[in-house]
Amino acid sequence: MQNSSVSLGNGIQLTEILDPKFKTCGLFIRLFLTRDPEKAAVRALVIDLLTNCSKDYPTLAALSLRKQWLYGAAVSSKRGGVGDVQELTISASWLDDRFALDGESVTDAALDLTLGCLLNPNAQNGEFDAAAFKFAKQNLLDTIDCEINQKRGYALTKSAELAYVGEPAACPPYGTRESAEKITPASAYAAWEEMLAEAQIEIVAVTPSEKPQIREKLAAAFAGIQNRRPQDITFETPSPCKTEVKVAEEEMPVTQCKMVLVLKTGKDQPVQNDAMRMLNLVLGCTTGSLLFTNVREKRSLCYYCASRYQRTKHALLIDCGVRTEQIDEAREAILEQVEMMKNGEFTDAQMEEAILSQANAYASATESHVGYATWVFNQKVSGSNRTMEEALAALKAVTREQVVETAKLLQLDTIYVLRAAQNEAEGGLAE
Amino acid sequence: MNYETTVFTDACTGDTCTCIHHPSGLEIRVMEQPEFSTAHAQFGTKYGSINVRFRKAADKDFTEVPAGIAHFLEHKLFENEDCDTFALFNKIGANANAYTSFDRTVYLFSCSENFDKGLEILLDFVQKPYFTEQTVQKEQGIIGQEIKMYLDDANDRLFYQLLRGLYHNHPVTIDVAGSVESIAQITPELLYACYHTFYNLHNMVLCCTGNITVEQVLKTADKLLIPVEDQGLESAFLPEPETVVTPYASAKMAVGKTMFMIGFKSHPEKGEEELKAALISMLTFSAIAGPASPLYQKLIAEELINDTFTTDYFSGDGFFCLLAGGESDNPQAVEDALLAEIERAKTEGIDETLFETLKRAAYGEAVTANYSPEGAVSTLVDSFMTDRISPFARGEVLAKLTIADAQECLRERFRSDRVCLSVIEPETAEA
Repeated sequence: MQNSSVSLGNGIQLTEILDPKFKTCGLFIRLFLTRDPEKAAVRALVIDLLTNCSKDYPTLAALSLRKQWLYGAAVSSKRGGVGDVQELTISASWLDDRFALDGESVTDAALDLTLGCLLNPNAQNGEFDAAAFKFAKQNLLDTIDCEINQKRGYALTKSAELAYVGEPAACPPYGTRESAEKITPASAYAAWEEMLAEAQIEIVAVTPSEKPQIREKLAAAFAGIQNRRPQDITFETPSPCKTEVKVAEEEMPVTQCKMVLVLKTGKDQPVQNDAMRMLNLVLGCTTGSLLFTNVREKRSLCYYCASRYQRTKHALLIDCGVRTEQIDEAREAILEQVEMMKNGEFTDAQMEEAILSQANAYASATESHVGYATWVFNQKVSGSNRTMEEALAALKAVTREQVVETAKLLQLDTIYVLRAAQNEAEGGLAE
Repeated sequence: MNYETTVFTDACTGDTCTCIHHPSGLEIRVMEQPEFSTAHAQFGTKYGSINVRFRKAADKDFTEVPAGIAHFLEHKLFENEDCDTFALFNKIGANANAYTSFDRTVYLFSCSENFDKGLEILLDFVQKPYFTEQTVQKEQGIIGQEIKMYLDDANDRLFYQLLRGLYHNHPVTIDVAGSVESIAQITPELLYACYHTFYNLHNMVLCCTGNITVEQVLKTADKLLIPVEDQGLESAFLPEPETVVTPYASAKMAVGKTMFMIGFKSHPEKGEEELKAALISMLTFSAIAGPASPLYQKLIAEELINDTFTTDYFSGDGFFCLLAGGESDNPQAVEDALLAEIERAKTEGIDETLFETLKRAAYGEAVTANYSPEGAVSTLVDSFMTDRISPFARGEVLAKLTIADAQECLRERFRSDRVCLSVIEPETAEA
């Protein structure tokens, strides 16, 4: 694997990763923008609309046909966020040229297609095409409405809203329905122009062989963006601890309850990130973790119970699926595991296993385009320039004392429970 | 040791797979991918949720067992007499898991180091069942939680509701995990009986991919595999009428928008014929209702579908159906439009240019099917489970498909008198 990073000018960075084992090429263009409750919905709409059509392929059918002709090339969008920052990504993948049936350059065609989607959309007179806009708006409204379909994800979103209240991170990933309803073809077009002008843009290309045209085409295309003024983005914005634990419940016709506990280290406490990574792994990220072993396996309290660390907010989220009558017991059991971390009640073997598990995760990351790209984007967010080997070495250097010290910083901040409505607790569909 | 060996080669990519008929009775499929950093192994048995009625050659009568045993066994096999198997995998940094579906149970691990040790653990624990009253009782609690979690999954409910609308007698209508009631009937004796029936090496496969060699796999297999006699296992299903149970089924759940799935029931196939039927059905369905089709544009323009609308197929031992679904405020109108378009295409013909374009995309998919050790190992297992066909049969079968095959598929498999519409509507607070 070879890895090189170059500036394309206009404040845009390209990381090229060459790895001959792949049969396809991958391109990831990520826009980072400070999360803004007023703009989250329109930006989410725009990034979706851009991958549905372009000036050259003005309908979903035309674009789809072109992608199918290019051996099923994919051009898609992703809306997400990290802490106070909204992340909007257009990604593409296509068959390597060596497999083309007629010897044509799939790479050239796929690049033109992708850049056309992002930079040359189906719009005129400062407005997106009405039909394309209508479809994208309906998709966004439906996506917002259907967030409740995935109960685990919904509970995590609601807990973030409560834990980060008053901070940009509280804003839902797709914005609110109210703000989505107000979007017009013109306001969406204006948002597109602003996104291209203000976003920090990071690009990752993963190819099996040298493809100089990628750099050339990207540089030429992005040079055309007018009035670039990238935002000064602060990724690390620790969330302050509440003086009193926020407890919230919501009732829904479901059979299994969901519970999320948010713990924070606070705004003013410096955190050793590698120690926190180790803590998170030992506490709740593997099948050998305290949460899996003690809460799920030994006490049968939940089908899933896991932790995740939101690095930029200095917050640890623990979530589980639990029966109504066991909510209190599960909460206490989870908090007991956190106390065990604070008391150093974990073994050296568990730390060793965490390192091995992380080594495996890094090795797996090099086996897909997405794995590579995620690593590059995460490095940007963490303001780091480490290799995976260096990150693993840093984890190995973490001591038990550092983990205990870091665990002691954690304070319970928020508890969110999605509770089964009384008549639903025993299951069954309403006919 | 003498092995009967077959080497399959992918004509498109040059990838090879070595298939060994091990003297123990087990089939072993290995794809060496030295350019990757990880290795994957899957040890599977042709035993899924549909295998509730069976007999061995020596038995006169069929045995019937409660639903959910295959899945229950999957959970229980991870528990040894002396320790939890997950703990053994964690010690060597391997990532282990398992899954049960309608027609198979598969145990798997991946790692970047210690593959030989991991394979030893895998082959050892799957061949050493250990069940007691106490451990069975504990697992009933955990699986009960899992069942409840799936009861809240609207996509899952929508799908099972459709299957129950399509199939009168076939056990594909039973939830993979069974029900709280059915798993309450499970005893250690039942588990042992099913284990010794289906976990016979003649009914199983071991697939390994990634940074490993055939010799390496065989060395461990020779050491660990315990030879067994082929018992002449036979699974039986009650006769299934060609007709559907009902053309319409609905329920209410906590979802944001009405969800629907349309299913066309048609005759099942076996082996390479099943693969051919799946490929031609997918091409035909994409030509009729995929994103590049006129129907898809019409449905968007009439605001009947959003971007969740997709087509698919579902097949296995004794069942084959075609699926289309998504979100809509008027699922019946979507079904009506789809049926009208199918009838039109039966008379006027499928767009041949579109068909050939879709075939190019399918070629791209075939080339990239084994893009990584993780993808490749699934391909190897799938091909074994599809009557032990070549893992590279997809590309070969695809190349032979013609527009005439698509037209025939449309006539035979897309029948308006073999269709069911399954709907999940939002449950309102007042409901």
